Amino acid sequence: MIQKKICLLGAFAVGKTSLVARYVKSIYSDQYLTTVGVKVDKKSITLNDQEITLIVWDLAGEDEFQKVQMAYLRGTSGYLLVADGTRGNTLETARMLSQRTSETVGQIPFILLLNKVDLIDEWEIDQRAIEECEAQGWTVIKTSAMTGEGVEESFTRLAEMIVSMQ
Amino acid sequence: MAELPSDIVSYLHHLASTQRKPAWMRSTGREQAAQCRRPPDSLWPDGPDRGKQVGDQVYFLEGLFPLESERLILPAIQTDSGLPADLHIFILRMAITCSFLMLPNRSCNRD
Repeated sequence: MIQKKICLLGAFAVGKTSLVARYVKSIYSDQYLTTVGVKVDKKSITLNDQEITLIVWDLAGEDEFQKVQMAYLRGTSGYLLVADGTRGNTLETARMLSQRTSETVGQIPFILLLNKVDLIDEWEIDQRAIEECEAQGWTVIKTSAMTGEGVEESFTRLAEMIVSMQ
Repeated sequence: MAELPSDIVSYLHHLASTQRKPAWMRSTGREQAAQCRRPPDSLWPDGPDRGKQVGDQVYFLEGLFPLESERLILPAIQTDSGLPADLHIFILRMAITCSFLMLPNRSCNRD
């Protein structure tokens, strides 16, 4: 059985933990508890008739008081960058984290998740910003941890990208 | 810790060994499990079985090996148990083994 470590990175309160809870346990809660350090979960999936266990590292969000600890990224095969569509500055945080991750672990597969698509009417991240990311070669997926939209697809796409690089 | 007074060294030793209740594991140079002690809190669910790769059995160790330096410290790792712990991995060069130490940090527990 193959095991692959993946990480979720992003600003604080963008929904990283909720995305993991939705993906691993199919649950969602409105209650917000900031993540301290890192939470590690796992989920087994079948990809092209091969069983793969994703070891999911949900890192504490970056804010003005604390930076993401790059040491947690050791050994990661890919990562999900998470931004909150209703907060435009979280996309800039995602860009900076992608840069720092590349400097730390090199070029590995990643996907940008624009979370909280259920609140699309309140979004600050517009189509032009999304197209700028896509023009750089980024894979961008709109997600909602609340409704589940795009969540399964995101993790599966990342796993496919990781496996195809082997 | 030559710069610390002996009573403080003793206090730290007592804190680490009794209140923090460390879990530890030793592996061979090829990251195969050799010895371990899991605490009652079960920071990891099972094993590891001797002679098998630790990363395959203790899932949060996946990808961490081989170490790039003599020490790796990852604070506040929370696994299935719900109990956050600081993970310390270091190499004992003389014994050509790798030791893992997890120190549960109950001060991080949420009420």
